Amino acid sequence: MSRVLIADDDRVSCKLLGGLLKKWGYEVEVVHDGFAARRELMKPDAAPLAILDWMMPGLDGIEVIKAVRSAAHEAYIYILLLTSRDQKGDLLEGMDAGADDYLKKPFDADELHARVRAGKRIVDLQAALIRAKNELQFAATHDTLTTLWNRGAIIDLLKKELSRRKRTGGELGIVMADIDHFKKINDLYGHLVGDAVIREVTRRLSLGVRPYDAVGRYGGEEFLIVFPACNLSALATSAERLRCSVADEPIETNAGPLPVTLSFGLASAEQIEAASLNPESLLGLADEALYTAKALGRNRVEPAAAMLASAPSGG
Amino acid sequence: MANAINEAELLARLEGDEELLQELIDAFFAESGESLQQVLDAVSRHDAPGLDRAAHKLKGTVSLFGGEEATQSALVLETMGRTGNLDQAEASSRQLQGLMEALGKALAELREKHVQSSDRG
Repeated sequence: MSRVLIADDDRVSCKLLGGLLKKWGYEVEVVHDGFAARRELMKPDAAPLAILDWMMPGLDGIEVIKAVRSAAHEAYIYILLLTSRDQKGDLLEGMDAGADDYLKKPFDADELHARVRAGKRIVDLQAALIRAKNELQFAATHDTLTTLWNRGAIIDLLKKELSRRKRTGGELGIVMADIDHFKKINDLYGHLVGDAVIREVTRRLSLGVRPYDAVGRYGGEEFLIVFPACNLSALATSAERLRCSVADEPIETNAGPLPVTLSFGLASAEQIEAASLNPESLLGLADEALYTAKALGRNRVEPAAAMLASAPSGG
Repeated sequence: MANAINEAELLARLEGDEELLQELIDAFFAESGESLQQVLDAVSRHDAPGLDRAAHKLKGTVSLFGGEEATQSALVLETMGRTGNLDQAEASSRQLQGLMEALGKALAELREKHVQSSDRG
C-alpha cells in the first residue's frame, strides 16, 4: 500500500483529500503546516507521495519542495502541488521549484485520482529501479558461492579502514586464512563437496567474528578478515577461536563428515611504518605469516614475524 | 439560498460517499468559525497580508462545498488583502459573514437529510 503525505492548513480540505485517498487504498499521513511537512519529508522513510498545499503557515509549499529537492534522498518523492492560485506564472514557479504535478482547488475527485495514480506509477518504477540497483551492487561486491565480500570489495574495505585509521588513529588487524589441503578435498570428493566445505567454513568464520569485522573470500579457498580496532594480541585470540571453530568439529558433507582445518596468518597495522602502510604491504605481511603457518605444519595461527624495516627509525 | 451550496457537485466530488460528506460537514463546523473570525480580525486590524492569508484559506474551504457566492466573496477579500486596498473590506466582510451563515445553514440541512437517508438505508 502506498503512503501519501497530505500537507494543508485547511482541515476541511485535508478531510476531503484523506477520505478519498483512504477509499482508494492509500495510507494517509496528515500535517497542517509547512514545517511539519518538511520534517516528515526529510525523514529517511518519508512517504513517497506528497500532496502539498501552496499556501501554508510557516513554510509554504514551494519552500517545502525546494528543501526536499535539495536533500540527497535516494528515493524520489513525487510531489503534487495543490493550489487555488491559477495564474500561469504560479504554475511555472511551482513546477520549476520541483513539483511534479499541479492540481487546482477545488479539485475534482476523478482528476485527483488520475494524478495520484500517475504519481504512484513513477514512485513504483523508482522503487523497482532502486531494488534492481541494490541487487546489482550486491552482486558486484559479493561472492556468489558464499555471499561473503568478494576479493575486490574486501580489499576496498581494507583500503577504507586504512585511510580511516590514518585520520582517527587506532588499531587495525587483518587475518589471512587458508583451508589446509583443500585441493585434496576437491580431488577426492569432487567440487560439489569442496563447495559445501567452503560454505560451512564461511558460516563458522562469519559466526566467529564481531559485527563490525568483515569477512571476504580472497581467493578459491582463501579468506581475508579485516578487524578494525584490534591489536596483534587481540587478533591472535580471535584467530585462534576461528581456528578451533573449524578444526574442532568435522564438516558434514554428502561424502560424510570431513575433518577440515585452516591456517592463519596475522598482520597488524602497527607493524608497518606509516609511510609504507597500505593494503599491499599489510596483505604481504599477512601472507608471509600464512606461509609460515603452512610451513610449520598447518592448522595453526602465526602472527607476522617482525616489523617491516623499510625505513630506518628511532629504535 | 438555493445556491449556497451545489449539492450535486459536492457529492460528485466525494464520489457519492455519504459518510465522507458527514465528516466533511463536521470539519466545516469545527473549522470555519475560526477561519471567518481570522478574516474579520484582519479587516478590523487593517492587516492586509493577514486578510490575504485568512480569506485565501476560507475561500479554499468554502469552494470545496461548491458555495459559489461565498467563494467569490472570499476571493474579493483576498484580492483586497493582496493589493492592500481595504476601503471596502468592512462591507465585504459583513457580506461574507452573511454568506457563511447561509452556507452553514445549508450544510446543516444537507447533513440532516443524509443522516435520515442513511438511517433508512
